[in-house]
Amino acid sequence: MRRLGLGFSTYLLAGLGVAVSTVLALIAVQVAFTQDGGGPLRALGEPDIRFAVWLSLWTSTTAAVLALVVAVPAAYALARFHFRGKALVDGLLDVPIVLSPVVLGIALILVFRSAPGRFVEENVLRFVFEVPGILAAQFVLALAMEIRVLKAAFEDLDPRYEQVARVLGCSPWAAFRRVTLPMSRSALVAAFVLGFSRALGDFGATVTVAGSVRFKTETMPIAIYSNLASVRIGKALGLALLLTLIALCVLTLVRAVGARRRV
Amino acid sequence: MIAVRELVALAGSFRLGPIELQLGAGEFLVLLGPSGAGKTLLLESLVGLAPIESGAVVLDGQDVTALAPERREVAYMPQDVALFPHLSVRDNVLFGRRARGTMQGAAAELEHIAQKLGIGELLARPRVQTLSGGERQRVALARSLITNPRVLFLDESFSALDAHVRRQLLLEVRDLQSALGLTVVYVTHSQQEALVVGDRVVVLMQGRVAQAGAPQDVLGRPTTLSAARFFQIENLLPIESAEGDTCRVGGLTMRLDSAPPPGASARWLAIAAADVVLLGTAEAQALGLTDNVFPARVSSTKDARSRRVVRLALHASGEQELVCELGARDRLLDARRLREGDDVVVYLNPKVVAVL
Repeated sequence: MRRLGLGFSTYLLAGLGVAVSTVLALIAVQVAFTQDGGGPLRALGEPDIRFAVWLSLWTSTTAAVLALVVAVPAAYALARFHFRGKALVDGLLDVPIVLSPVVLGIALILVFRSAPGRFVEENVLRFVFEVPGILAAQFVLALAMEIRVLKAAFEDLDPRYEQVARVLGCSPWAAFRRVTLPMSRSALVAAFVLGFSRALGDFGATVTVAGSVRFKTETMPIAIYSNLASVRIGKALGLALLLTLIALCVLTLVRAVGARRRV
Repeated sequence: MIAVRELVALAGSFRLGPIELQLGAGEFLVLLGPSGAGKTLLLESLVGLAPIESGAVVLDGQDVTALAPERREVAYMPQDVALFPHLSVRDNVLFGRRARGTMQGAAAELEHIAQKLGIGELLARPRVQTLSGGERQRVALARSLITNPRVLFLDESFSALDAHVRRQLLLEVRDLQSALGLTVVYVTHSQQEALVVGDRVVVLMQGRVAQAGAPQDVLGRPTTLSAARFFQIENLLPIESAEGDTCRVGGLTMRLDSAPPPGASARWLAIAAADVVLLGTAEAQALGLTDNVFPARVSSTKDARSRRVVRLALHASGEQELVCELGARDRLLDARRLREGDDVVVYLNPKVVAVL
């Protein structure tokens, strides 16, 4: 598990520094805007903002968990097995990381507008301009992030441990469950947290797939944009402050997990 | 008992085999060979971790070729022992019993094995990371033994330890193996270890069995040039011509213990430095030695801790050099101490001259 070693820690420290600076800047702005009676902290208590916060939190958590369910076997397969087209799959998994989220959102809409996509939309679950659309967009973004983290962790884990477990009486699944997963616990936490934060912070893919409907599909980043566009600076800043605090917590948690991994 | 029949395994472009092996119950087999000879691949093929191309592996009369590793009822200790870092010492030792669902009676067996291996106090440790190198090997050994394996496979399991601890552990394993009647296959590249613990030695060279037999019959008695180089036989002399039980080497006529088999292409003579006997001229005459006695001159001498290496130039052969190693006893008798330029007589007993 050396890939998330010193370099990773350095990036996290830099991230923490940027986040702390941002919070300080926001606090300064908060003081400047308290004169209009709609301060950012007070704005956090308003129903539309509370809805956006709750929507963001539960969709991001669900998307990150669902992504983890897919990412664990996918990352394991990519790390351990050789198969035809592996390089292509590996490359495709990077696409959501490098692609503009808006383009990713358009790609998802095209999927839902295809014949199978229409069938699902009409008979199973509606995605476009609905909450499941938010989940779909966040899932794709979180999945790419989680697979990257977990693949690196599985590659770093010496296959000898599994081999010894097999000889000691474990089936392949039992060896994975009893040895590989527990030994990758920290990577699992890190993958979940990074996937969650990627989902939570997304604006482009979510707004493209699910739109920006208040009290329906307005997540925190979308609400920030909408309020800023309507010159409701207090609300926008309140949400920005909250997102920054969440990012700080996430970074701290990942750093703590990273420190445990190096013990 | 293990029987390996015509086993062939591939690892990239490396081909192992075909390998034929037979190992009796309760025997200690040492797989010896240089790096890249295929020792680990053979071991992994026997354990079931490496797929085989063809052939069969039979354990106690049961063909296990198609069985997964977990169903072969064997134990395997790799070089780095691979203790599970997320488990306590006790849970590491009991891992196999839990995995196989045979925890009944495990506690009593754990006590017994822990006592034999001297790890009783270590079992309470919550983290294996706190164990020393020797302790880790002992714990890994206990983890293997508690599953009551049909065969214990050790893949250079003690090579990371310092020489003293390694030797001590190896002797303990040998004692345990004798006491429990355990069948052991031990991979190493150390001839000394093979000599100390092996009932039988199989020398692997370039994916093939080069030699097999009792350690004293195999070690230092190469049958191929590559084996001679692996055994670090100091004197490899090219044969110019051979006829019957004699051959010409560097202009000298050398008598052999027996004639090479008909059709065999005898190209080299291999003579270990320790087998080269140095005599004074009068001493050689007194002993009445006639064959394989050659006058030589000391080119150089070098003292090591318990031995002395003497380089000799054979008079009659022009350029031919021989290396001779004097052991502690020789050195005790070597009152005049050989010096560069001294004339001596070399005697090569035909029994110690290997034809390759």
